[in-house]
Amino acid sequence: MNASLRKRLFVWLSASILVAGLLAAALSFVLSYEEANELQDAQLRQVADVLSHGSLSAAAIDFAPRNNEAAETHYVIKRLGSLPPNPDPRLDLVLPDSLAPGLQSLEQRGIRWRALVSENESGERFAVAQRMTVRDEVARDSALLTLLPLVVLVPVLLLIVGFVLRQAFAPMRAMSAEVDRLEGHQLAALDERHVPLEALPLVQAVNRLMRRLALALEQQRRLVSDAAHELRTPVAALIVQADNVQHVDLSTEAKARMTSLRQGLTRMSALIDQLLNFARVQGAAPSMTQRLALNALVRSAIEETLPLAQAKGVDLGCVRTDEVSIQGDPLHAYALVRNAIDNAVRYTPGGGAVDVSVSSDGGVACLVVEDTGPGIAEADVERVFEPFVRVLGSHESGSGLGLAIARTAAQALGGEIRLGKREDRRSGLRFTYWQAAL
Amino acid sequence: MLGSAVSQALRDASYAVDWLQDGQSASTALTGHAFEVILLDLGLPKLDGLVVLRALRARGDTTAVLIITARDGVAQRIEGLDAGADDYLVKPFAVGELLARIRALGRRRAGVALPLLTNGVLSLDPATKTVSVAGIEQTLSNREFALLRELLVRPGAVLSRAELEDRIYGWGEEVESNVVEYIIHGLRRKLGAEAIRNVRGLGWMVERSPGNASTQT
Repeated sequence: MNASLRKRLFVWLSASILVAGLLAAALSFVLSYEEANELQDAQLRQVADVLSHGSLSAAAIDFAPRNNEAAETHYVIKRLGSLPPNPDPRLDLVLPDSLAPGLQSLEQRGIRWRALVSENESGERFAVAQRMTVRDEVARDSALLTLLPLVVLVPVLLLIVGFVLRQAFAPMRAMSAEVDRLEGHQLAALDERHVPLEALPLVQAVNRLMRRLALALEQQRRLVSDAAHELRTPVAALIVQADNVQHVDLSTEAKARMTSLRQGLTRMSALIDQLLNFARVQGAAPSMTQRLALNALVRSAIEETLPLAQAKGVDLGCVRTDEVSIQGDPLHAYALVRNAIDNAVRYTPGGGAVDVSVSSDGGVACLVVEDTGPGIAEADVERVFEPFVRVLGSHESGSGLGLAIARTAAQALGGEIRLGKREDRRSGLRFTYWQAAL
Repeated sequence: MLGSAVSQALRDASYAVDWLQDGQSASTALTGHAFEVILLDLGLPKLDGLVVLRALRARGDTTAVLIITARDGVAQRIEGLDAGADDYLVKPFAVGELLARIRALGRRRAGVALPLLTNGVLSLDPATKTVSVAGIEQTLSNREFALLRELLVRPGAVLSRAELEDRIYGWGEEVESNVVEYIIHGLRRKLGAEAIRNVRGLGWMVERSPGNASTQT
């Protein structure tokens, strides 16, 4: 499993934001809680201060809330030692004489109080008290309010991080798509202009690799091409020698053997030609593209293949010849058409037929070549495009390169090849090629 | 190896042959002797074949030159022809083709513009509008002649019905239906059923060097 840089960044950044947010929230909660409590203590002190200047009047002293609602918010002010006028512990409390002066927390019958014990000018000791529940609620509310901006900000931050990361990694995705678009043996350098600085070394390394690969491929292609060219001279010599022998008076037996030798040489020279064609379709510059009449190419290819078809007794012909043009390199287009037809004729036994059709349908030019040969098993369909793979048995005179050439040419033209069964359920192969029509 | 084989083939065909194995000695031999046809392999040791050819033409020598090359790229052919070659042959080749091209060069040198159109079996003489097949002469009607001439201009090429009609009829003439089939029927009766082949769905053709298909690639 490959680690995603973007996911990792997102997880870590999000975790950091969340942890920092939580810490900040906890801190601000605690601080503002404390602050609120201190504020309320100060209020107690203020009330006590006011009361301590002068004697405690009857009205002011022993002030206790009348009901539950008031008990929530009101202060209880009373002399120490006095008995509560109200026996309800939620409304009033008992303050013994022994209480030390100053702020303190008390608990009486399940109710917690905050009380300030003070003394007025006439020496009377009294307390100002407030229920803790009220204080806590006020403190909690104000503390919670301070959390609000954080609660809003954290999700917004997460969204922003996600968006920024997505944007930052967009060039990487675009580059992958660019590499994916490269077809076959195409090795084009990636565009380095919009690549972020951090990814630039990687892209440059990839481009250097591409250049080395392209060079190696080109060298390999040239080796095949040069080897085929070099083979031509000795094969030419052999063919001329074999032709020369036929001028000498030979026994019938020797003549028959010479004929098969001569046929072998012809096959060899055909194989060399196919090797050259293969090297050529792999290397042709795509800048040579022009408008090509597909039906005219088919006619030339049929003319070229007719001698073979007639020698084998195969009925080669057309069932449909729409006039349709395609865009492409003539070398590629002709190699494709020629090999499709040649292959069909080679693998069709004598007495069989090869039907070629050129059609134009909805902006798509389509070439179909159907034969009455043995066809290709579905499992082998991919394999037969590889050079020198012959699943149909090696008795046929094919070079084993025809379909490899056709596919390479198709990739260069931007079209597609499909091999399948005939549509009329007869035995045989249906070769279909299609690309955009002009 | 190719040189000795070709020399043998040419001697078998009753030609006198000088075989020179590198560009240097070829150049020397060409300055002293008059040859009828020069077969020039472009991949010569010591001196490149094209250099030999250019030097020959620079001297004003117009001897027929047939280039033999392993390269069949268009660029190489153009370069060879531009350097002054009269014809070229790509390796490997059959002896028959080599001899036919040498004969053609010889005819051209002799100034005999051979008007006969032939595919090896049928020979059409435009002057007399007669065709000979296996030594038997047949006279043709104007339309039969026009149709057969079109087919024999490029043996092996398939011509469609429309193309044949275009060439048989002039501008504005009304085309009768089935006329092509009718003419071909007549021609086959005179020349044999195999003389003109039908290619299903495309049209008609005369074969390129018929009877020899198995040795042609």
